[in-house]
Amino acid sequence: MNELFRIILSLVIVIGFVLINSLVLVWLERKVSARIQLRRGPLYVGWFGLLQTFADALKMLGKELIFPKNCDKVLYFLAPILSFAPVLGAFLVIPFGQHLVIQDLNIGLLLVFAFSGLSFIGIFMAGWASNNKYSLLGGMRSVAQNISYEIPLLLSSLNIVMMAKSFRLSDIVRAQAHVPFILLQPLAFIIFITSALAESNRTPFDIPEAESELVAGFHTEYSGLRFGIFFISEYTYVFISSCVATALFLGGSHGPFLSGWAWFLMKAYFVVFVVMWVRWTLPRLRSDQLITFAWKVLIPLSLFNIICTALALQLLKQ
Amino acid sequence: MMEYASLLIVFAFAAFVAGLLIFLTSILGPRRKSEVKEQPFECGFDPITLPRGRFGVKFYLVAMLFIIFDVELVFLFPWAVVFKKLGAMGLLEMIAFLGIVVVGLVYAWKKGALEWE
Amino acid sequence: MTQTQNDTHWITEGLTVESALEHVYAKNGFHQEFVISKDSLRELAQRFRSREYFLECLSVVDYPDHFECCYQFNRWDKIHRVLVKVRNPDKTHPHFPTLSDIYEGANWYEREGYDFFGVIFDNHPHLTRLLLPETAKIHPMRKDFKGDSGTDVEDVLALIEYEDHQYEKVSQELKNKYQKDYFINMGPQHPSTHGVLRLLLHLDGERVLETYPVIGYSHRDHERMAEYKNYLQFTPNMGRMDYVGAMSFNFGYIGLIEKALGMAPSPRAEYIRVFSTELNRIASHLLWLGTYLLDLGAMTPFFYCFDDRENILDMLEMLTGERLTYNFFRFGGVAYDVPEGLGDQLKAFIPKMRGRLKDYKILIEKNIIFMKRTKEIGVLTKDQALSYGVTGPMLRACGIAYDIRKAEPYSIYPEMNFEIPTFPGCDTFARYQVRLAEIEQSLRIAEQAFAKMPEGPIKGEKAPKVSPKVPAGEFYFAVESARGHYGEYLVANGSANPYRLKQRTPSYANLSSLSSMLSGHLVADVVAVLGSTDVVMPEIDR
Repeated sequence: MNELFRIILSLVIVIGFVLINSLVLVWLERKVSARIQLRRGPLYVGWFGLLQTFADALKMLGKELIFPKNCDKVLYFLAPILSFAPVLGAFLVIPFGQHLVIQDLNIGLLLVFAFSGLSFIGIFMAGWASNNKYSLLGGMRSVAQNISYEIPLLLSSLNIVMMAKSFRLSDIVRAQAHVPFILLQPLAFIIFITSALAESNRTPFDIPEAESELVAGFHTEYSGLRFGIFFISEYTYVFISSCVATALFLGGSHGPFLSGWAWFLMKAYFVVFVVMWVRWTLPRLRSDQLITFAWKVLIPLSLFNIICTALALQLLKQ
Repeated sequence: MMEYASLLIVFAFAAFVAGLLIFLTSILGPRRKSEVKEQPFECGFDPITLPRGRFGVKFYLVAMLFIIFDVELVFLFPWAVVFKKLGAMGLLEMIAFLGIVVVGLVYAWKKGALEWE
Repeated sequence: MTQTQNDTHWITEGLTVESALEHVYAKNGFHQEFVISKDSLRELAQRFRSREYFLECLSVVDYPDHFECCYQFNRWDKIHRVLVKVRNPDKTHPHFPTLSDIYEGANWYEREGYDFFGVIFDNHPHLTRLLLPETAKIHPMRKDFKGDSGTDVEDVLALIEYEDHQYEKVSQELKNKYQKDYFINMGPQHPSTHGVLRLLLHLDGERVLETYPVIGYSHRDHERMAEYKNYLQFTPNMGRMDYVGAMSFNFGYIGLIEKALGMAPSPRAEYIRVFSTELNRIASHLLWLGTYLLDLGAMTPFFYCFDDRENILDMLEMLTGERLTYNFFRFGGVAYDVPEGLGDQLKAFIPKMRGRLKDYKILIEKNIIFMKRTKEIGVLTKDQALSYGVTGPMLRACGIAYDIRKAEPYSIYPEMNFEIPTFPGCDTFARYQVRLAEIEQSLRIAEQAFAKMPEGPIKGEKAPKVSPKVPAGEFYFAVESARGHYGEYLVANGSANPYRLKQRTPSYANLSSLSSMLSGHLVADVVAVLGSTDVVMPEIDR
C-alpha cells in the first residue's frame, strides 16, 4: 500500500511538472526563436514574458470544442488523450538523479521506446478521425515517418546497451561515471538525436503538421485544449527525448560540484535548446526524402555502427 | 509485479488528467453550433471527395518494411545484453544475422521499395 | 522599317490580309500591324510559333460595329512586335478560332475574353469563366454593360447568391464525377498560396496527377475602371494591382500615357523614377525570398528579409509618403522631390545589403535540405516557356536573357551599367539564383541612378496640369516589373478616358504554366513550385 501511495504521489508531481515544464518550454521556444529571428519575443506578461504562455493556456481553456461534421467521434475524442498518456508514462523510468527515479525497471529503455512508439497512434487517430484530407495526409505521413525512424533510434541506443550491458537506465548512467558515452559513440549520438527529432515531429522533420503544405496537418480540426494537449505532448516528448539522450550519452546525473538532478536537468535543457536551435535554422524535408533518408542513410549507418561496436568490444576483451 | 502494475496506474492517471482538461474546456468554453463551423476545413470549400477514399500505397509499403525490420530488431535486444558472455561465437552469429538483415534491406532498395516514384 | 518588311514577308505570304500597316515603333510601340481574316489566323499563329515568337498578349476590344481580337506576337532575342487583328461583326456571341493548342498561354487569355466579352473561341478545350464565378451571367467589359447603375443589377446580384444556392449543386456534380479519386483543395484559405489562389489538386497518394488553378478571388476589373475614369484618376489603381512591386506598375502606366502624348519627363524625374523602381524591385525580391523559404519550412529567413525590406520601405516612405501601394509617378514627372537625408540612407544601405546578400547566399546554398528541395523541381523548359509566354525571372531561369530594360530600353536604362543574370537550370533553384542576382544588379542600378541624378525640376515643361486627353490611336508600352513583362495596350479615342486599356500582367502568364510544372511532383513540391513563380494574386485577378 505504501508503494502505491508513493507512486501516486510521484505521479501528481510528474503531472504538475509536465504541465509547467511544457509551458516553460513553449516560453523558451518563443524566446529562443525570437533571439534567432531578430525579435524580442514575449515581453510584457510577467517577468520576461514568463507568464505569457500561462495566459495562453488559460485562454485555450475557454475555447469552444468542435466536433467536425462526419468525424469519427470516439476516435476523435480519444486521439489527444492517447497521444498524451504514453508520453507521461515514459517519465516513470527516467533517472533524474542517483536515486530520483519513480520505477527503476530493468527494461527501462525499452519502456521509453515502447511508449514513444504509442504516441504516434494518437496522431494517426487524430488524422483519421477528423474527416479532413489535410489531417489524413498528416496522419499518414506521421505513421510513415515514425515507424521509419523508430528503427535507427533503437539501433543507435543498442550500442549503449551493449556497452552498459543493461536496459536499466540507472545502470546505463552508472556505466558513464568516468566517460560519457557521447565520446565513445559519437556516431550513435548523432543518429539518435536525428531520429529523436524525427520522432517528435519537429523541423526539419515536421511533415505531419507541415504548416505551409497541410495547413496544420493532423490537428487541423482540433480546437481548445484538445489541440493544447497535442501541443503539450509534443513538447513533453521533446523533453523526454532530451532526458533519454542525457541518460544514454551525456552521462546523466554525473557531474562535479552540483547535485545529480541539477546536472541532469541542465544537460537535458541544453539538448532541448539544441533541438530548438535546429528547428529555427533549417527548412523542412520533403516526405519522400525524409523516409528514404531513414532507410538509406540512417539504418545502414547504425547497422554498421553496431557491428563496429561489437567488434571493438570483443577485441578489447581479449 | 508491483513495478509493472504502476504502468497501468500511470496510464489511467494520465488519461484521467487529459480527460479532465478536455472536460474543463467543454464546461468553460462556449457552445455555439453552426453548420459552417462544423465543416471540415478544406480552405473554405466543401470537400469534394471523401477523405477516406483510395490512398497511395507507398505508405503501406513503408509500414510493411518496418514490421519486418522491427521483428529482426527484437532478436538483437537480448543479444546486446549478454553479448560479452557469448564470446566470439555469439559475435559471429550475430554478424551473420545482421548480414541477412542487410541483404534484405539491399533487396528492398534495389527493388525500388524505398523510391517514391 | 523597310528592312523589316523584307524580312517579314513570310508572316502573311499566301494569306488573306485585309490590311497591313507599318508602325513607327518609337511612337506607339508596334512594329507592324495586320488585319487578317478569321480563317487565316491559325495558320499565321503556327508560323509565328515555328519562328519562336511568343504570344505576348491577347486583347479583345468591343467596337461599336464589331468585336476585335488583337494578338501580339513578339520575340525574345530581337524585339519585333506584331499586332494581328481579327474582326467579327457579330455583336451577340462572336466566334473566333482558338489558339490554345498552338500557344498554351492563349488558353487563359481566351477564357478571359469569353468571361469579359462573351466571345466564343471555337474548339477551346475548356471555355469557362476564368475571373468571374462559373455561374455568372454578365460580360462586364462589353460597352453595353451598365453595372450597378443599369439594368444588369439582377445579374450582378446573382453572382452573390451563387455562393448560397448554386454551390450545393456544383459540388454534388463534382462529387459524382470524382468519386474514386483523391481531390484536394489547396487555397484560397491556405497559408502558402500567396493570397487568394485556389488550386484543385488531383492526387495519387501524395503525388500530384493534375493541377487546376482557379483564380479571380480578388478580381476588381481594373480594366473596366479605367474606362470609367479619366487618365489621371486611374493612376492610383496601379498600386493596387501588383502591391509588392507597385513602382514598376506606376512606371508602366505613366510611361504609356507619356508615350501616347509624345512627351518626355524632366531629366531629374527620370533618375528618381529609376532608382525608386529598382529599390522597389529589391523589396519585392526580398519579400519573395523570405516567403519562399517560409514555404519550404524555414521561418527565420523571413524575418531577416523583412528586416532588410524594412530599410527600403523606410526610404521609399521618405520619398513618397507611402509604404506599399505607391502612387508616386505623375505625367511628365514624379510627385515629390528627393528629400534630405535619403541620399545618406541609400549610401549606407547599399553596401550593407551587399554584405547581407553574401550571407544569405552562403546560408541558403550551403543548406543541403534547401538544395534537395529546389533542384530539378518544377522544371519549365524553354519551349514551354515560349508556349505560355512566361517572362521575367522565370524565363531568365531558362537561360534566356529577355529583360525589357535591355530588350526595348525605356527611360534612362540605356545609360545604366548592369547585366541581365540568366541561369540555365530551368528549375526552382535557378529561379532563386536569378532573383538573388537581380537584387545585386538592382543595387548597382539604384546606386548609379542616384549618383548621376541631375539638378532641376521634377516635372517636365509640358507636363499636363489636369488630366490629359490622349490623341486617338493604339499604343503599347512595356516595362520590366519584378515579376516580368508588364505591358499595357491602350486604345484611345481622343476623349478624356481610355476606350480600352488592356493590362498584360506578368504573373498571369507565369501562373498559367503552373500545372505543366507540377505534374508528377509531391504535395510538398506544390508549395515549392508555386512559391518559385512569385505570383501576386491581385495582379493576376486585376
